Amino acid sequence: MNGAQADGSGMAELIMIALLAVPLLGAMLVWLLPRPASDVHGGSARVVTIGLLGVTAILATTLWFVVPDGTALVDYAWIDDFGSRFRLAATGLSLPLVVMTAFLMLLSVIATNVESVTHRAASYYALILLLTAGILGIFLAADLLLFYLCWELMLVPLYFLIGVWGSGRGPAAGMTFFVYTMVGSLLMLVAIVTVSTAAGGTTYEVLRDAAGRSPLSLTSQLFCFAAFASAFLVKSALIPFHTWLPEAQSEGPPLAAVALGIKVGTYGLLVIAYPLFPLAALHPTVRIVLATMGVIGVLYGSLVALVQPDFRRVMSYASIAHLGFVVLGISAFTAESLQGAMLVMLNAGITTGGMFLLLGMLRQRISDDRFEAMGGLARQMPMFGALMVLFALANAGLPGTNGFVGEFLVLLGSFYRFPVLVLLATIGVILAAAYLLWAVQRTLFGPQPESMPAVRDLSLREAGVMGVFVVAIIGLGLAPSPVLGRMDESITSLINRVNVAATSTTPVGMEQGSTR
Amino acid sequence: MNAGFEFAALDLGTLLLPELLLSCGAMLVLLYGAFAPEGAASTRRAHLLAILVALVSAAAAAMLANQSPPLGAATGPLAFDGFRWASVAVILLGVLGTLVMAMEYNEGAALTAAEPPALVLFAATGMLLLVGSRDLMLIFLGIELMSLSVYVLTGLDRSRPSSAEAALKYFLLGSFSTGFLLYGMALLYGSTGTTNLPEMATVISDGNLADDPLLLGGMALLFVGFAFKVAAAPFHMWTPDVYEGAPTPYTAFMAVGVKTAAFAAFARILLDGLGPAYASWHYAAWLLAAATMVVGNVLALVQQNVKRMLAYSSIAHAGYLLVAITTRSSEGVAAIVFYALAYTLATIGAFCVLSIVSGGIEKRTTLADLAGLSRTRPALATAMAVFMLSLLGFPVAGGMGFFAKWYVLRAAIGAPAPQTKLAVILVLASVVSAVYYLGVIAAMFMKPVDESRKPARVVEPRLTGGVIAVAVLLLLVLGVYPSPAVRWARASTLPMSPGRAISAPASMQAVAPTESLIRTP
Repeated sequence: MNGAQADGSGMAELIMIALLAVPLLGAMLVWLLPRPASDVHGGSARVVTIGLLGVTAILATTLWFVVPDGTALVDYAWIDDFGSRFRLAATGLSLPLVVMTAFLMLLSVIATNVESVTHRAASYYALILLLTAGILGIFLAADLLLFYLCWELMLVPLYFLIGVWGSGRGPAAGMTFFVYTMVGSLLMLVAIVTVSTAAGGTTYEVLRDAAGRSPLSLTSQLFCFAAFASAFLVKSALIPFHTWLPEAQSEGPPLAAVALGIKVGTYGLLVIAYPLFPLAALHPTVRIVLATMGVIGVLYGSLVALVQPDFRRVMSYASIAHLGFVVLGISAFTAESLQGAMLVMLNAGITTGGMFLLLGMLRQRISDDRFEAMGGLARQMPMFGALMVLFALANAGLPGTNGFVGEFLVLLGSFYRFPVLVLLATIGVILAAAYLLWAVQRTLFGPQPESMPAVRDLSLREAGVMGVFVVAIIGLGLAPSPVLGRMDESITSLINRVNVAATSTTPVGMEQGSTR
Repeated sequence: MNAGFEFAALDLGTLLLPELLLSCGAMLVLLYGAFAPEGAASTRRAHLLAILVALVSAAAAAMLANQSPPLGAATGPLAFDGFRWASVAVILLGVLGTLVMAMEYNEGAALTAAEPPALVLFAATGMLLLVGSRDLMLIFLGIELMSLSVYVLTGLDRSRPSSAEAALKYFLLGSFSTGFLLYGMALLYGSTGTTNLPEMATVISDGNLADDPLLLGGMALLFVGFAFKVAAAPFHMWTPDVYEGAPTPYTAFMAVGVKTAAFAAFARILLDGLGPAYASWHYAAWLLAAATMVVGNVLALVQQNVKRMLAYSSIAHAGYLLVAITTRSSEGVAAIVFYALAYTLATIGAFCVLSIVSGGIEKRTTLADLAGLSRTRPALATAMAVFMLSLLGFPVAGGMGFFAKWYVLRAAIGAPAPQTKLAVILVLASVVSAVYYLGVIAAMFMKPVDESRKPARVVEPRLTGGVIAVAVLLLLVLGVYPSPAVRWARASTLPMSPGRAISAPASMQAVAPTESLIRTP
C-alpha cells in the first residue's frame, strides 16, 4: 500500500512536470517545424498541436486518478536567494480546473477550421501551446513567484492571438486587455514582494505558515489583499473592471474567448489571497463589499446582456454574471458556497467555452453575426440549433445540467450569511433565462432576413467536439459527486486554515469578525 | 594614511590595469588609423582591434576581480570592491555591443575612419575610471574623459545636420552641467576638507555635518550634475534630441555605457561618501526618482521615432534605478547592478535591431519603418519583441527584465526605511510604459508592411545579428533561472559608510546603522 502510494505520487510528480513541459516544448517544436510554402493554413502544425494537446489532456486525466489523497508535490530548488522553489501541487481545487483546461484547449483547436487560420499558422499554434502551459502553470504552481510568472505568461499569447488573428479591431482590444490586466498584476507584484519579504520566501507553504504568525499588520494585510484582489478581479472581469472582456472575447478568435473564460482570477482569489491574508479576507467589511460586488455583477451583467447586439457579447456578459456567483460564493466562505463557486468556475469554462466555439462555427458560415442580420437558423441547421438550446439552458442553470448544481450550491451556502444578497442574486438566475432564451430565439427562430446566406449544418468533426461538451454538461449535472468529492478535503482544509489563522492571529482587543 | 598612499603609488599599475589597457589600446587604434590606408577594410580592422582591446581589458578586470583586495585598498582613491567589478563588466558588455554594432553600421553609413573605435575606447576608459574611483577628483576626471569622447561620437556623422545639432546641444548642456558638478564637488570639499569618499563619510558623521549649509549646497549641485548625466527629470531635456541625432550605435553607447557609469559613480558618492547625510538627500533622491519615472514614461507615449521613444524610456529606467539608490541598502546596490545588466542587454539589443532595420539611414527608425517587420524578418521582430517586453519588465517572454524590476521592488520594500510609495509609483509607471513598448510590438506584428518605407537596401545582420542573438539568449535564460546573475549581483557589495541618521524626519527614524543594512540571504 505504502509502496503503491509512493509510486502513485512519483508518477503524479512526473505527470505534473510533463503537463508543463509538453505544451512548452511543443510550442518550440511547432514554431521551429519546417513549413512548406504550400501549407499556408499550417495543417501540419495543427496536427502536431492537436496531438500534443491530446497528450496533455490524457496526462491531466491520468493525474486526476493517480493523485493519491488529494495533493501531490513537485519540489525542486529554483532561486534560493529569493526563497523561491520550483513547486507544483495538484490539489482538489486545482485538479478539476487542470483537467477542464486541458480538454478545453484541445477541443477548441479541433473545433476551429484549418482554413480559419489564414496567416502565420505556425506561430498561431505555437502560441496556443504556450497559452496552455501558462494556464496549467497557474493552477499547478505552489510557489507565488512561479505562479506570477505563469500568470503573466498567459497574457502574451492571448495578446498576440487577439491582436494578430482577431478581427480588425483586434489590436486595440488586445492592447486594452493587456494594459488593463497589467495594472492589477503589477499592484499584485508589489504585494507579492511585500509578503514574501516579510515571510522570507515565496512558496505557498512558507507564506501560509507566515500568515498564521501574522507578520503583517491588519492594515498591510488589507492593502495587500486589495492588491491581490485587484489583479484577480480584473483578470476575471468583475464589474466594474469588466470592460475589456467583451471587446477581447468578440474581437479575438473563438479560442481566445474560450481561454479567457477559464476563471484563473477567482481561483487565485480563493487559493492564494484567502490563505495569505486571512485577517483581511474574513474582515466583515471586506466580505460584505466582495459579496455586494458579486451580486451587482450578477444583476448588472444580466441586465447588460439583455441589450447586446450579438450573441458573443451576450455570452461575455453572461460569463461576467456567472463570475458574480463565484465571488458571492467565495466571500460567503462556507463549505457549500465554496463547492458551488468551484463548480460555477468549471461550468463557466465548459458551457460558456462550448457556446463560444459554437458561435465561432456560426461565424465561419455567416460573417455578420449580429442578431438583426440573422434568424431562423434552426430550419437550416437543426443540430446546431439543438446544441445551442442545450448550452443556453445549461448556462441559465436548468436542473439536470451542470449550471444548476453550481449556482444552487452557491445560493444555498451563502443564504445563511447574506440572506438579502442571495435573494437579489436569485433574480439574476431568472434574468439569465430571459437573456439567453431571447438570444436563442432571435438566432434560431423567427423570420430569416433576405440578406442571410444559406448555411450548412455542423460537420461531423464539429458535432463530435460539441458532443464532448454535451457529455460534460449532462454528466456534471446529473452526477457531480465525483468532482465534489475530489474538492471536499481541500475545501475543508482551506476553510480550517483560514479560520484558524484569522482567529489565532487576531490582535487583542480587536473584533473577531464573523469567522464562525 | 601614509601607508595607504604608498600602496596606491606602488600598485597603481595593477589597480588600474583594465583602464590602462583600454587607453593604450585606444592609442594603438589611433596609430593604426594613422598608418593604414583609408577605406572600409581598415575601418573594419580598427574596430576589430578595438574589440580585441576591450576583451583584453575585460579579462584583466576579471583577473583582478578574483583576487582578494590588497592591503590598504579600503581607503585608497581607487576602489577594489565587487561593485566596481560588476559595473565594469556591465560597461564592457555595452562597449563590446557598441563596437560590433558600429563596425557594421559605419560601413553602411559610409563613416569610414579609425577614430570612432578609438574614441569609444577612450570613453570606456573614462567610464571604468568613473566606477572605480573613490575620490571626487578621479571621478571628475573620469566624467570628463567619458563625456568629451561621447560629444565627438555624437557629432560623428558630419554630413547630417541633426547629428551636428545633437553634438552641439549635448556639448553645451553637458559642459554646463559639468560646471554644476565641479562646483558641487568644491563645496563638498569646502565642507568636509577631503575629496576621499570614505573619509568624507567619517568627517560628516563625526562632525555632525549632515545639516551643514555648505554640504547641503554641494549636494544640491552634485544632484543637478549627476541628474543631467544619467538623464533624470527635470534635467533630461537634452536626451531625446541627442539620442535621435547621434548615429545609432553611439546612441546605444550613451544609453547603456554612459548611463551605467554615471549611475554607478552617483551611487558610490551618495552611499559611500554621503551615506551619513542620508536623511538630508533622501527626499531629493525620492523626488528625482518619482519625477523621472513619471516624466520618462508619459512622454515616451507620444513618440513616433523609436530612437526617441527609447530615449524617453531610458529616462524612465534612470528613475527605476534611482529607486534602488533611495533605499540605501546592500540589496539596493545589488539591485542596481542586476538592473543595469538586464537593461544593458535589452537596450543594446533594441538598438542593434534598429540599426539593422534602418539600414544605415537615420530617418528610418520610426514606428512606420517597423510596421510588418514580423512578415519580412520574423526572427528580428521576435527578438525586438523580447527586448521590448524585457524593458517593460515582463516575466518569461521578457526574461531577465522582470527579475530586474522584481529586485528593485524587493530592495525598495525590504529596505530599512521601506519605500513603498515609490514602489507603487514604479509599478504604475510601468503600466504606462506597457502602452509604448506594446506599440512597437503591435507595429511589427499587427500592421501591414508600409511599402513606401521599404529600406533602400537590405542589410544582412551579420555580427550585429550575433549580438542580438546573444542578448536574447542571455535575457531569456536568466529570465527563467536568474540565480547566477543574482549571486553575481549579491557579490557586488559597496562598502557603505556607517552613518547616524542625524536630525532624521519621522519617516526616516527607522534607518539603522550598517549591521541592518546588510541583509543576510
